[in-house]
Amino acid sequence: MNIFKTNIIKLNAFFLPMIFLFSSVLFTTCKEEQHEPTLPFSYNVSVLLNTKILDFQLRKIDYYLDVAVIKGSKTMDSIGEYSDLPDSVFKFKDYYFNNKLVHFQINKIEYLDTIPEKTFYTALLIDQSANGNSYELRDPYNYRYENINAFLKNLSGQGHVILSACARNGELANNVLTIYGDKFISHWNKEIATNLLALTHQTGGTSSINDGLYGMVDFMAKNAPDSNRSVTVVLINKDDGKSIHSIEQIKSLAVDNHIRINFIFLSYNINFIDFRSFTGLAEASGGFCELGGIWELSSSFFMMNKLLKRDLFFYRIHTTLTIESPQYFNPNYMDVLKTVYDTNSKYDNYLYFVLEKP
Amino acid sequence: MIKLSVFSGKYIFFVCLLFLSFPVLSQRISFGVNFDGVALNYIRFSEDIVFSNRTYRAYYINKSNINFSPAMATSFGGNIDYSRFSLFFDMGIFTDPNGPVIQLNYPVAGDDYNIYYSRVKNGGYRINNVLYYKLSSPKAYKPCLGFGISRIWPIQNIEDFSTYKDFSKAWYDEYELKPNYKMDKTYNNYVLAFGYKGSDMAFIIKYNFRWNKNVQNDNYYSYLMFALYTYANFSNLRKNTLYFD
Repeated sequence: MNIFKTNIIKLNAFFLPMIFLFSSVLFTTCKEEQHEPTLPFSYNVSVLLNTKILDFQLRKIDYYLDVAVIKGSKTMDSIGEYSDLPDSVFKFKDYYFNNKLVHFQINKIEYLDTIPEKTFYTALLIDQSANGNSYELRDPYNYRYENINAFLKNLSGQGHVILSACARNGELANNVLTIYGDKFISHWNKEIATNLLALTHQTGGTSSINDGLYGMVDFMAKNAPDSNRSVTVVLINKDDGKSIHSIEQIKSLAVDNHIRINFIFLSYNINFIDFRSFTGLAEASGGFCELGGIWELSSSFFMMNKLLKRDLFFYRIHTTLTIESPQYFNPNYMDVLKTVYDTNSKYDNYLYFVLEKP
Repeated sequence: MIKLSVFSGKYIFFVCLLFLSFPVLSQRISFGVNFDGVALNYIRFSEDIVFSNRTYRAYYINKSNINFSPAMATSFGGNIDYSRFSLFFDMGIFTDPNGPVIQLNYPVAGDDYNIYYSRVKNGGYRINNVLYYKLSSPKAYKPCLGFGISRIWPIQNIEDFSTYKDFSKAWYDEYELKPNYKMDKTYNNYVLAFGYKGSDMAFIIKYNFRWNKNVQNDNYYSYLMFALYTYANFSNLRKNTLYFD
């Protein structure tokens, strides 16, 4: 029996430390609460919601811009409108045209609310072209997937989305325009996320944005209920000139069918994107515009549901624009609104706007 | 109030079987400890793409992964010998302090991928029941084949996520791949075994695999383990069979 006891002691001496060792590893592996998913950037974003001409004369234009400012954040819960901005953050730049001063006078800035829609139907149209501008240059780390996926993941029944992409002679399944699925989704699903992820490497060809956009406006007119429907375009290049549809035709189709066209411009460069035509198209159809690198626009994708439902506060900037005689304004005048948050110009926002003579 | 189920036929049968088996078990039962060292694990994920819960990313993943995994397990248990059959049962803890390393590919511009590595350290509790059949052999250590069931409770785990395969720099306690392991449920694993069994010790190679046909699109997990069993046979106590020198 003594030998048995000795063996038991040996057994304990050997195995118990091992058990404590394993137990200590187990205790360190307790589950912790999972945090909210995050996006990598948190820049503020300005969104042009509306442009209204009050009085368009030869050398004087009275107008206002409706601009929503989204306060940058990396998580859905902390995102929201920038509500306490001073008037001084909105800046227009005076300049000389043929030695005559073009002067902006901000008369009044109001902070207003919208009347929200209950839901929305939108077609996401992603320009997949790579001729001129490319995602290799503008989005080398594929932030557009994260951003758009964030929008889809936070959809949660607030609206309805269908995914599409356009390019001519590119890598897409169908030339010019590819529509993924035939039904709108109201909640994130793996199928749409998988198609979106596959688009990362399906870039190439030239931009068929005019034909693609016309096709999607037509699709929405035929397939979406006539209730707050829109096409939201992620644009990187201007049309290659081979499209059979013009901007005027798109505008006519969209306005006739009450379809808003929203633009997310992923380039500041006027050589790559026809800001005058597309901003005019958005304004005519009632859509919104935002402009920047895809990383700079991250926060706005958290607010995309609200933007599409028009459920947000915005700044109404009443302005008078004048030019000295004998110069006069183009009936399709375009300029830039700058939003300056602090002394670091890196965080400034730019918005093109078009003042079209009624 | 006594529940009616206590008087059910099945209950009475097992109670009678237990009492009747005492005289037999007391002569044939042995108690001891088991050590398992995991050599290889093979994981087959049910899906090609992992959607992150930590960020809004998604990754392409290799569906089939083989990892060398220096994991260990220890347990207390016993075995009952009857003729050529030997039933091993044990309950204990296991830990895989390094965890399997899985490569995840995030597509970026230019047809390239950013490569990340995920490892999920894990540990938990389990019981094993394996029935062995001893093959005829004149030697002291008899070859045996076994089949059994292992029940594993929800596994505690921590994920490390890195751009370096050696995890020299990493993000710790992340949720990138971890939810896809689906370790939060109790599972039945199946065990196939081959080894040599002596009167007080056994060396076994076990293949432990998860097969749950009731869960659709479930991942397939399997482990190849080397096991050492040492046990004290009560009928031979006076012969001093336990040595650990």
